[in-house]
Amino acid sequence: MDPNRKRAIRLTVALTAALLLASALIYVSFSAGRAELDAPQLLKNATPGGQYILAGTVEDGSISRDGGRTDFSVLGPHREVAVRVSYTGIVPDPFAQGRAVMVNVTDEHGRFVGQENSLTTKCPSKYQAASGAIKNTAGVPVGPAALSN
Amino acid sequence: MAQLGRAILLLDLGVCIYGIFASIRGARAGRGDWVDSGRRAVYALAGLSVVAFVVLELAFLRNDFSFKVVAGTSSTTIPIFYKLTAPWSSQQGSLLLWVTLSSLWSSLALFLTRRRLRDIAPYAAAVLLGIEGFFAALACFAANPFQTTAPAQTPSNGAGLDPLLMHPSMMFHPPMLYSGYTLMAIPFAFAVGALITGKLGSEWIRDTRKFALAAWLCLGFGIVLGARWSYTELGWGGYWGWDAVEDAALMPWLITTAFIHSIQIQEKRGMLKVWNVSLVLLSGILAIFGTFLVRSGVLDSIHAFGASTLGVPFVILLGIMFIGSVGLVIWRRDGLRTEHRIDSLLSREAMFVLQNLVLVAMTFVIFWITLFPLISEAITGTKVSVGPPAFTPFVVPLALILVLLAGVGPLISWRRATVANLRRHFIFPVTFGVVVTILVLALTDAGRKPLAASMFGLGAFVIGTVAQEFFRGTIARRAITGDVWPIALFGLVRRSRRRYGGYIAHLGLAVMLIGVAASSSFQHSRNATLRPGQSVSNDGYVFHYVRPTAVATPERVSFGAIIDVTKRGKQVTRLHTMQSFYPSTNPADGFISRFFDLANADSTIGLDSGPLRDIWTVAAANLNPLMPLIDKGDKEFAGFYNSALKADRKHDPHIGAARLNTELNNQLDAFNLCGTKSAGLNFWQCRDRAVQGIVAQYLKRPHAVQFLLIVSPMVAWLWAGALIIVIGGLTSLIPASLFTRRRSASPERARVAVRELA
Amino acid sequence: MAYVILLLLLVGVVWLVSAPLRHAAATPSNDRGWEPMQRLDLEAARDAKYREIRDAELDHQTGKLSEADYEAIDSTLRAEAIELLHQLDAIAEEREPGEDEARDSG
Repeated sequence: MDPNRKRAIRLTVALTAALLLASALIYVSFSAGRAELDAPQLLKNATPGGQYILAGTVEDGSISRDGGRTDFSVLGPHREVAVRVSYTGIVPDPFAQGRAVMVNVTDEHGRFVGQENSLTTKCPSKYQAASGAIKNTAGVPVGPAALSN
Repeated sequence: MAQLGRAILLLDLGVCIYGIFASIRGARAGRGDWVDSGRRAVYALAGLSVVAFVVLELAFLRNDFSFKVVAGTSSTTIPIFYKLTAPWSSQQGSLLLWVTLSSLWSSLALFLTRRRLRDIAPYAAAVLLGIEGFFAALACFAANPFQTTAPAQTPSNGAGLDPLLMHPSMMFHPPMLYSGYTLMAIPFAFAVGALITGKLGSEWIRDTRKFALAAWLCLGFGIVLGARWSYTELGWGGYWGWDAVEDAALMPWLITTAFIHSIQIQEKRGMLKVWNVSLVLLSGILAIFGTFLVRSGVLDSIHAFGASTLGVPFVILLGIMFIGSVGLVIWRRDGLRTEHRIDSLLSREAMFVLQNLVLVAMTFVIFWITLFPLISEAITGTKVSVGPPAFTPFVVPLALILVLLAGVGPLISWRRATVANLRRHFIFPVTFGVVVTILVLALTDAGRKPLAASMFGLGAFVIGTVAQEFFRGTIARRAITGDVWPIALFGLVRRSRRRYGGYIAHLGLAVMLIGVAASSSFQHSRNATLRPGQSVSNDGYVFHYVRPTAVATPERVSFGAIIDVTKRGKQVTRLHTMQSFYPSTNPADGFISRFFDLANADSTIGLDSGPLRDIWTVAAANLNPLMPLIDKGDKEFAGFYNSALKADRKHDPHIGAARLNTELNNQLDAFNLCGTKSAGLNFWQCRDRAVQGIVAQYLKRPHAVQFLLIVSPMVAWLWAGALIIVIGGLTSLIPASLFTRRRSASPERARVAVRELA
Repeated sequence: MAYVILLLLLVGVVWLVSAPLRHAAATPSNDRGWEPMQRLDLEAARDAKYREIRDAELDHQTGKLSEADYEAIDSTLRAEAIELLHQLDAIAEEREPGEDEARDSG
């Protein structure tokens, strides 16, 4: 076969494969994607049965654990509104109030249920120290921070 | 000292600017003295950055909390080992680490090429100084590690390092990863230099290949270290989560893998010049892009530095790099043309090209899915995230093709292979692969996951290929030298380090992907809530919760569980998992509850690793039953403290912290806090007693604990495979001068000449 | 104390970076001790060609290349190697003796 024709065929095959891959990718992305929302967006846009990814900060004092279930509230970016999430599954070690989290939730008629094992908390090394962190401690001895032996 | 640090950063910037100017001037005017001066600017930058980094480390070691980063990430109670690693747990410190490592590696590269690549090296130096200057400028003006607080606002103790980061891997993972990223900048810089000067010759190939291989090794090792840390430290039992920052490191690595293969085609046939130089430029851009993803907070990920102001400068740098690269390639495209073509699809060249395409496709897929939230936001206005499950349908088939090619490539010769010849070489590896597949399907239930089962078969095929290559090569060598097997084998590898180093790396890849397939497809994971004495079964193993453990040390309070694992009645292993609580330094926390702060906790995994399976367990300590005691302790000790404070203030309204501390140290059992046992104990000792007493309560009244139990096959193959890849890469890098005696030109010439005459 | 260190660093940097310029001013010469790029390039190409010859030999010994194919490829590679050696010779003749001394420019 003429080399040029061979090359043309190879090029066509390669481009077709690339096109197929790209189409599959685009299709999967748009169809299987979940919207990543913060608390106010979730409250505004959630529809029953819908699946979303909620991102935000855990509200202080909102964590309650009961057996395998952990309930907590996620604050919006301006801390004006919070969404209550009922979650079962692994709770990552860094999870705590004031930390930034992401969790997959399903809207079950106003109640947001976290998908099992979908909770992630931002790695503490990059987490900026919480507001209200170390204030001036002059005059308030903390004492030996560690236990004596 | 902070001023010194700040001044050095400014000096860094000045040195960078001078170096760029000197290098370019020297290159354009052909003035070697200016070129040397520019290169020395890189050395100077390295030296200065090291000094600056030492200043920062000293601040951590001395607990100098006037430094904002020290106050934010360290405290008096963390061990020295982790005080040394704390600098790079913050944005500012890690920028300084980046500059330091980059300038050190650049210095090494420029030193090694100081008498070579005369036309290219100055431009490379300028590019490297430009990138390093960018990071130095960021450290100087946007995220300065030497920022201080006024003495009046200096806290007496820092916030402490998160206990999750107090793990040996934390010491090595970031520097190794940064070394990988910064090493990627070197081939990038030399490629830019080569394009500017139009000299993409053999010398450029030889040096760039070595730099790229070193970068590939470092980055790969860093990625594996991160995976290992995730598996052994974090409480989710996995080693790869397709998190944005994991992907960010993987992409340049994949592109560099493509490059170190396709560069061989350019070496042999002078083909694919545009492709190769594009790969190098792309990997450099992706390395900076990865750094950008981690820091800018532009993608929500477990690792991102959170919303920061660094996004825009990075985008500008990336834009310059990208547009500059495209422009250079287009400008030089005439000089990069070649008449050669791939002769046959049945050739090693064709296999390499195919492998390259697969790797680029994989990179594109990862790029797209990782950045999809941004892409969708740009198109539809909402951030849509596709998540880890989306990767599998694409990455797995591509990975299978890759493994297939890794086995086929070595069996096919360059230029053209004949079918008859191929048959002879494929028989053993294919048979081996098929036999292994049949055995796996027959002896296990792997058939329910056909893709994973195929990976076993293909992996076996690659192992068969590598074994056959070593075997046949050793026989051939023995036929010539008459050596015994081990010596012949050694001589074989020594003589063709690149080829056999590559084969070893392929072996490692097969082993690693077999491990990945097994551990991800056939993992048995189960949540269980157990009281002491209860058992649960998982994948044929019985997990028996023996008893709880509770320990209080000066460093932390740990609550754990002992688990006995048996199979068919026989003891397999005893695991100890625990959750440790590190004392909080926040003065707002209660006197007792600061030792039981869930926000300052980390898990110690109970792990039994075996060649064929890993048994992994983690337990969440149940502190609820202890809360009443903790609250009571807080109230009582706070009450005593406030009374003491009030009493002292009656005498001296402005009593200082030190004085009050002394009082508390001296006042002995004044308020019967610890009951009759408190004779001779001061306030703090009493507190310690209380904490230890509460800890002991955990054992007395053990409650149900929630466990995560995982049995994962062949995880060890992952780490073993990675190690084999590293060995292969290092073998390939060994320079000729270490082994071979210097060939003088004449004997070789004579040999060649004789042949010519014949 | 910090100022002293800073001063020392500044002096050190200036000294390190200006050394080649001062040295050049003192002993003007065109040769900076570099290997000529062309020669190095040819040497690299030659080494790569030798490696190819060895690889082809190994392929032949392990049976990947038939006798006929090997003969063809081997003579092609050796011809290319000889061409490179000739080019290297041409450069060596052009150069004056003594330029081989590579002075350490650091």
